[in-house]
Amino acid sequence: MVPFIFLASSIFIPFNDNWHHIVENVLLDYFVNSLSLAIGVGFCTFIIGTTTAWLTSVYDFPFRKIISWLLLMPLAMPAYIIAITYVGIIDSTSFLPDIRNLFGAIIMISLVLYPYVYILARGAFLEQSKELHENSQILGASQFQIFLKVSIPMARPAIILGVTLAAMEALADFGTVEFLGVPTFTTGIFRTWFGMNDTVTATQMATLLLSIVFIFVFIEQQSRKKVRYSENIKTQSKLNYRITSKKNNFFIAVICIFPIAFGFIIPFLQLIYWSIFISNESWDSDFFSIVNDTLLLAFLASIIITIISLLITYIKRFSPKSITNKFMQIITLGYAIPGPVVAIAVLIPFAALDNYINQILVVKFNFSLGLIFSGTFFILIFAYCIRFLTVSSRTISSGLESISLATDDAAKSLGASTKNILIKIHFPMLKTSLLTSFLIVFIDVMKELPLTSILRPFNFNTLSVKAFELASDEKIADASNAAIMIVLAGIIPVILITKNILGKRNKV
Amino acid sequence: MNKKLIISDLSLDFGKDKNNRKILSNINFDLEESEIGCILGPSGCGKTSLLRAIAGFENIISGTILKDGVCISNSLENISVQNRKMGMVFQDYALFPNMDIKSNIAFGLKGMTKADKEARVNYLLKLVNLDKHKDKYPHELSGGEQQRVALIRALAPSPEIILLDEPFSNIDADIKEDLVTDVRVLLKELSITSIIVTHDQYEAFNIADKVAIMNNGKIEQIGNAYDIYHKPVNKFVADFIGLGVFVPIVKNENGIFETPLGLLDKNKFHKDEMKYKNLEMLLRPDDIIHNDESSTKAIVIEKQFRGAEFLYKLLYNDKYPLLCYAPSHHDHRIGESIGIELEIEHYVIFEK
Amino acid sequence: MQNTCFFCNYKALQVILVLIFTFSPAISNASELNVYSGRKAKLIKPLFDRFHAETGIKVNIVTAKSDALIKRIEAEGESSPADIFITVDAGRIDRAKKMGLLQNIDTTYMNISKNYIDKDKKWVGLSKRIRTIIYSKKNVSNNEITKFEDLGKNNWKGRICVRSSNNIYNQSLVASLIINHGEKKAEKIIKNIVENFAKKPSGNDRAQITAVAKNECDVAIVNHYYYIMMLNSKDEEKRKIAKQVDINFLNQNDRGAHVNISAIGIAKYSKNVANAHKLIIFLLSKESQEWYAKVNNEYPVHENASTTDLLDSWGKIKLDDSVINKLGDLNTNAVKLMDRVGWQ
Repeated sequence: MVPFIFLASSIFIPFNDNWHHIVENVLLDYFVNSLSLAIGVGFCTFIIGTTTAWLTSVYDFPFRKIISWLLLMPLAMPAYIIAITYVGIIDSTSFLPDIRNLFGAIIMISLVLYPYVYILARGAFLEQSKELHENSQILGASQFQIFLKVSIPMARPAIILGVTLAAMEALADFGTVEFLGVPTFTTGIFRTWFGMNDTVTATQMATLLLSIVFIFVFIEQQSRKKVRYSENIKTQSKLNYRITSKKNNFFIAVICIFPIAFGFIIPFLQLIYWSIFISNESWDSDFFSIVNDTLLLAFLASIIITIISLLITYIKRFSPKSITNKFMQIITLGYAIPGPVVAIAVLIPFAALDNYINQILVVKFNFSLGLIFSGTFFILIFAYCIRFLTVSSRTISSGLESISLATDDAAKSLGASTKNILIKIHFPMLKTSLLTSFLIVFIDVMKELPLTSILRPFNFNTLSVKAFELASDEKIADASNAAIMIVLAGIIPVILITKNILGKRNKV
Repeated sequence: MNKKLIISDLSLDFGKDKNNRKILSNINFDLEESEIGCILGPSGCGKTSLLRAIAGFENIISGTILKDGVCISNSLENISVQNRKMGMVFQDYALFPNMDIKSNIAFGLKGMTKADKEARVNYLLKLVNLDKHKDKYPHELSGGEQQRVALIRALAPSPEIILLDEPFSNIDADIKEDLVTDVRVLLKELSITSIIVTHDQYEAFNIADKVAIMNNGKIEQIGNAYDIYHKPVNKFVADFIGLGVFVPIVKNENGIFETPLGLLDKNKFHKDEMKYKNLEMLLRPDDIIHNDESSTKAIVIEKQFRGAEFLYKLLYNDKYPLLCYAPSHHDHRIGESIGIELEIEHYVIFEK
Repeated sequence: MQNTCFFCNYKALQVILVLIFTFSPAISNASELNVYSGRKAKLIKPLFDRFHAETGIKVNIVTAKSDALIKRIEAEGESSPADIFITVDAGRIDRAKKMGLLQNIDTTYMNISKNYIDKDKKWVGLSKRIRTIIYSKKNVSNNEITKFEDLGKNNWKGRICVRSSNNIYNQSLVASLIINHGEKKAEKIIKNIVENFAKKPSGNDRAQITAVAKNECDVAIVNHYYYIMMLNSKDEEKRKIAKQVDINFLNQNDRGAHVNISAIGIAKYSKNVANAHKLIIFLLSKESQEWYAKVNNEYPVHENASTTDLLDSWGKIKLDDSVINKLGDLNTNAVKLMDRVGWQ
């Protein structure tokens, strides 16, 4: 709560010189670039996501099942890693266009975020009934027309949700735009805060950015509600796969393979090549201690965040009107806030707290504890909570929602105590959601960059920070080792999550 | 006579109702041991809330609920749901999706050996003909099968009272009739006191010994099917139950009460009714007989085929809509004029 | 009510777990030094290991961009465990000083030129790096550019590459121009140069060198050691690129080439001042200086320390080092100037 108050209060501090400077010179650039990034990514992920979702829902072609899975692989690839890789590839050739610009950033981010739209659109398409499609065909519509005029409009809430999520992540991105040299709000905030050492102006910019972000958040929450309602149409039969002629099959498979290839396979192979043949960094004990540290951190954070989400979800279920619940609702807006902003919002209050405590200790007991909160993992995990609590609690929440309150009542009427209800009924049904939540947070923490870089304690480095440092130093090939480890650590969770999501729907 | 359940002067609110109306006002209702009671009313009348209050899910603001003479709910405290020894069947069955059927049914069984539990589960499954499905999971069963499982799950721990919330609302029409009968037979066989909540009057009249009609949080009338149908106490009940129309009653020059369809026998009136000025009478479809020889004629404006009979909607004197059951071999066209006759046993008269 | 109590216990357990696992000791230890370094670990850790071996004092290191570290030390305040702060830019160490984050260093036994010591004795330089130009051997002749200001001339239109204005090296470079020319004139010069940019700034110094080799531009502004690194790269591609360009040092006939430093300071609330001094003296010793400079192809501040053969071969270069002490003061002006003229 404190971080938000802190941010909000900055609005009231009068604007200083730096602010005017920014407004006159660069604010427009930041604004235009950030907005273009969000809209561009939204648009591209829409195209890639809905097309692949449609093709894998409606058509049958060789390797369809594998391709449907592989289309989610880019989720394991952080956007900045893929940007670094392609820059490395492009730099060593002379004919490929330079991607160190807004356009490049949009493409890079879209390549790894389209799975959001893919999953949601695919889910929506599969819910659409066969009758609907056949009806449209009788009325003379071609497949493409059905796609455009029937399926997409009906799947609109799901698609809007996916696109908005992608746009928000694009807005919050720091690593990719910093590396590609695109001045956006997030890089601007970073620059003002650190470069010009102006916390006040930086905070004001952060607040401005957040107001824009909250518009997206609003859209996203509205569409989320509609998605829930639309999933209740179960009376008609689900879509069956149709087989088309062999000529079209090949074409379709190729279209679907494109995003997989560019979003995952090509970068991954390139990273492996660099790692084996070119990299100066060796897979030595230093490296593995970083791997160790990163995995440990991700693991710890995932467990803590999953547990907190579980608590929040239960509080929401049993006392929906309590203040705690409202409080939690606000906290969960944290996912929309870019990393550097969270770092500011978290570091300053906690460091102040530490100093305050130490002052008291010094006066009373004549010794200091050093930095209790802000110098240890506490602050890092706290910041991760702000960033990732939402996605985790939403996952668990949707799992818990499938257990109707009537089920709780039924168990009570059969004499079960609350403890029994939780253990015998809730937990078995929540197992999948808990695991999914854990995995999602795990991947996100592994990929996280700006927060970790700013807030990490002594002698602690993570793969993401190391990879970015090396890449910023133009040691792109050297960064490949760390990059590969991040992607590998992400693949297994992505596969497991995919199995859950697609498995549920793949009953057709 | 031992009353199993006595509800006295029960009131309930949920804090801020829209008009600050109470959800339930001064409810009085009781049941004998082994009696099947039904609470019947339109959506939103509060019937489910009443059921939940009996079960212990809601706290009441005034009145008491006594079970076997012991107070289980009053405005100050509630015995918890788990301790009331009542079973409940929910509208959406609420079967535990992660357990198979036999585990679902055994869920409420406590203090029994494994063998005993198994025996009880098998017994109950056999009662409803579902023993073949005991290893299946809820989502593999049809709606009717799930409902039966929900029922025996609630019955398994031998509750003293069983509560059913719209148990047939999700059942397909063609098996509903049989299911209603089967459930009544089962409940009677087990001699278990039951309360059923529904909005469907045909369910109510076929399953219950005693029906309470509810409207807007109040009980309008309690009685058996016959009494309610033929002697509704107010216009709401008359309207809600069965089909019917109202015709005005006037006193003619001779001081005799008459309707547009003819004179009325003043001996069939109650004293109180004669006091009021503006009266109307209920006419059910079975009160109007089709007689080709009658001089009273009405025009057919709608007609519904009901198997053994037609339900005709007629217009009398261009003014009064009437309903009439006629055997279906009397097949008249719309617009045709047919003969009718008034034949009422018991006058149901209300103030307008 | 039942429910919340249940969770009360759960929550307490969780808090305890978190406390146990996440609170690694943040208490300062007398036989250790905590270094916040803007210089990459690889370029300094070996020296720390040697220091540890010689003195038994363990050195803990945290690396990040100097800007971030400054922010962190500032936020940590009196409880900060920082003992030593190392940066890769004079402007940044000066900022740390201005923010009151550094304490006095006893420089009595430190044998280096006054230009590389803070006038208020809050920091000391560790190595020198020159920001200069490399140019396409094909399209530009040797000595065609002798002064930095030449880059503003019309014949260089569309031929210049440089990294973003976000970079502190560029900011200090512009600051040095403001110091030498005054803000108005400096702005004009920079404006002209920016108008000669071949493309929008992107990538870092090595990317600029690559761009020149690829004929996207003819001149690039870089730190000298990047050029050397590419010449010595393990990657044949990079070596090929470096061979297509050559380096030149500017303003040799007037103020000297723009020089920047990596610098070291002692944190204001350090509890290990004595050890901190030991470390600084160690880093300024001849051997350390030689290693420190050579590992990154920089110039040592120690007068007698040797450098690499290649640097030797370039001979003595005139340096604009009298302004080093002032670079920090003008950093904000430089940034704003760059924003005004559109150096992205």
